[in-house]
Amino acid sequence: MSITWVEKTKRRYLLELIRKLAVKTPEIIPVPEELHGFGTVVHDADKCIACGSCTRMCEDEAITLEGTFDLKSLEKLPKDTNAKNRALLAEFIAKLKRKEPENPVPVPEGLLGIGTIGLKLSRCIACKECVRICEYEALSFKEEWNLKDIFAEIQEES
Amino acid sequence: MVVGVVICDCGEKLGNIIKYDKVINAIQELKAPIKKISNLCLAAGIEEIKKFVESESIDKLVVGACTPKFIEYTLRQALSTVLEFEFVILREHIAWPNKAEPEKATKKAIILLKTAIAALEVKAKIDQEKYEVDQSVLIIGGGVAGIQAALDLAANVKVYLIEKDENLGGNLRNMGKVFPGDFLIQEILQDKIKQLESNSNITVYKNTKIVDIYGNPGSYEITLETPSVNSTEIIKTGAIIVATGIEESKPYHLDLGYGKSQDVILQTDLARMLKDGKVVVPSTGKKPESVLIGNCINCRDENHFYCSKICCTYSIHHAIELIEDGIEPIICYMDIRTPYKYENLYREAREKGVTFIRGKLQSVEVGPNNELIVPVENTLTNEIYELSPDLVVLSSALVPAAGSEKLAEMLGLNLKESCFISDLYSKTNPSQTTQRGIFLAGSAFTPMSIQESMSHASAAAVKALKFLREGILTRDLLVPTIDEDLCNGCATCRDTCQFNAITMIVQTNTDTEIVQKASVDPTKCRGCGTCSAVCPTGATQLANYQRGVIFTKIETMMKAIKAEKWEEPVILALTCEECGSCGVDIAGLAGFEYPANVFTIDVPCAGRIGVIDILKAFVEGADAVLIVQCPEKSCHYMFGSHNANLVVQFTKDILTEIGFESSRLANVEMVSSDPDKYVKAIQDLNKVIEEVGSNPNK
Repeated sequence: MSITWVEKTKRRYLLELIRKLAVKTPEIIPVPEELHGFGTVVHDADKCIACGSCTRMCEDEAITLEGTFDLKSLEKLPKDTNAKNRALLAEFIAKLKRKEPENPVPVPEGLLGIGTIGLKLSRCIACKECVRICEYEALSFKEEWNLKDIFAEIQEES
Repeated sequence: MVVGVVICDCGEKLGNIIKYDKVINAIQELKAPIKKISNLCLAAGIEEIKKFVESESIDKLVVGACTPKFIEYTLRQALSTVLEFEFVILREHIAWPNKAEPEKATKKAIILLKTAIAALEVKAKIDQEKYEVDQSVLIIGGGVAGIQAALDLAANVKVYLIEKDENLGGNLRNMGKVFPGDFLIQEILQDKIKQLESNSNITVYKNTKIVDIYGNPGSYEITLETPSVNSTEIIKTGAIIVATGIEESKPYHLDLGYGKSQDVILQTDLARMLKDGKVVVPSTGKKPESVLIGNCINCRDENHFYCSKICCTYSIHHAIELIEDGIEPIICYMDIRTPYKYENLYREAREKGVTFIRGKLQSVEVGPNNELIVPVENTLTNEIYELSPDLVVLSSALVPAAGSEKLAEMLGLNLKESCFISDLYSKTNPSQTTQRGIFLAGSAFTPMSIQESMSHASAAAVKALKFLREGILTRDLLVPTIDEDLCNGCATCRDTCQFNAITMIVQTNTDTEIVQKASVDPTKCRGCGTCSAVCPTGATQLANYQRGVIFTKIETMMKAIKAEKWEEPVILALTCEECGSCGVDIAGLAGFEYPANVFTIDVPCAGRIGVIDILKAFVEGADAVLIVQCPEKSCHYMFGSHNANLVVQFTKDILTEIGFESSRLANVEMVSSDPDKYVKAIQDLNKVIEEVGSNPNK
């Protein structure tokens, strides 16, 4: 059987190879300290202001700005954040609200600089550029390769 | 810092509506010097204000009078010592629409004057920037438009004309007789080229392309490359005219035999044959007996949605030439569009025996002996014909000349949906591009006839000359400032700006880490403020419309409303200064009367309004918020009104999600001649407030 992959990236090819070889669902694999290119980017929505800086750094489109905005995370934004406009948004919403927000609010297409960060682990090559660029410590890096979630993600895609 | 107030009662005519003595008392309570006059628009009135400003040593001035559209320029010229102005439109916005309610009109005047005073206290003096304009024009494209613009300009300034081919003339080089009136275009063209080449003020670069453009409006540095003589040259120029023109698209992808049979040619190929006086069938070299002309090819369909406008006329012109040469022409058309006097040409063609079939060519089959078989449906009679012409001529879509898209990108120009270069605002500024100092001539803008191209080019020449004649450009730096401590380099502002005024500058900070910061080019910025609205951090703030000023206005306004014991609900209107504010002026001028409970805060463009500005108004207790903006498609800043629509939609969704009535927020798109829309929006919002009650946050 030939391997067909969605996009011809080296990473995706590697994942398809592993998938082909796998006889059981893999677990989380620790990454040796000096090995580059593997690991997991972790996103903390409560610190994120969804400015999109990280999405512009990511050449593999592993991190994208999705078209919804989560008001519940916004409430938890640190008060002393450097993102003054976002802090004011949180403050005003807290003052105006008459019920707890439940669902994320859709962001109209074309309105820039706001949304929700979406991660595609199967595309990430762990270059850590997004972690470096984030001024709000909303992105961190774990030295473990989450093959379990990656496989689940590929499964869902196909 | 002294903020003074001047109010005018328009020849004592407003005094019976607004009680000026009450207004004066209220302002004096704020310890602000105030003066009432009756003739602000006259020289005597200006003199009075001058004396008042001097005697009270006023730094900033609130003017409560008629609309600033009438008086602002004169006041700014006359009162050079005043650092900043704020205008309260007592006449068109307050007195006239509320003739029947003098008490409310008086309160409203006091509220808006107090707001203006508070705003001036936080507004800074706007800096000015001066730079010299290089007295030369670069014209890109040596077709008829470029040549015409060069000749028009050369009497006054130095002109550089750049042509990518080895000869000047563009599409005209391949034309013989042209409409109107069977002109022999070659004679005219050669004459123009002779004039051009003998003019010492014009430098012509042939076989040349632009490799780099650097600089600002008024002083560009352009790197030119001429590969044929292996030379590179940098020229300096103050303005640029883009005259890159059109070409006929090549419909290889359609099933019309183009590229398969030599005997399927384009209309421009036929023009070349007619010019040379020898129409032949390429495969045989013989004169054809019949020629089938297909119009609207690759055009008015999913490939190119638009009508190329001139093909009907010139294909009919060609058909008449053919029939006079003894060749039988048939024209297959979708609709005949021969505007103005060219209707005569259409009539002439029919009288002379040109056959017209209404039906677009769908396919051309090439037979075994290279003969052409063309099935055509006559959509008027539903008959299907099978034609076998000796030659098929396709009028294919006219598209921007190759390379113009790349050039537009280098120049920072926007393209229209059709991929032609966009103008700034067709209604008032047709030859101006979205970049200051760059103008459009001829078919680079839209397909044009020779005559139209020449007129358009002359218009561009006048615009360019007017720009150069400013000599030293002074402009108010009404542009955003970037707080580098807050800027996180996310580039949202850059991606939103339609004028390419923002670039991201890479900086290296102390611990050798590389960071990006936004940077504004004031020569390109037009001051709409959309960047301020979308900035997540608040680093980007449009001067004089920064968050502090807008918030101060909202807060002061709501406090003053309380202090005046205003009992009715409050509609806070955020109004764009283009059609929005003008529309409100016109509502007053046209005698519309509407509820007094609308309080206006001006912004340069609705694009400046962000989610937090709207929420701030609700937090301070506004019962409803109205955004007054230009229609999306005729926004004076391209994208601002569209962004405002997105912001309104998004804010409404947020409000719904937090249980706050989203119906309290409305926007109205209007041109200045639509004051009724504004009045209706206010009435509608009042109905909404009646239904949902007053703002619970009050």
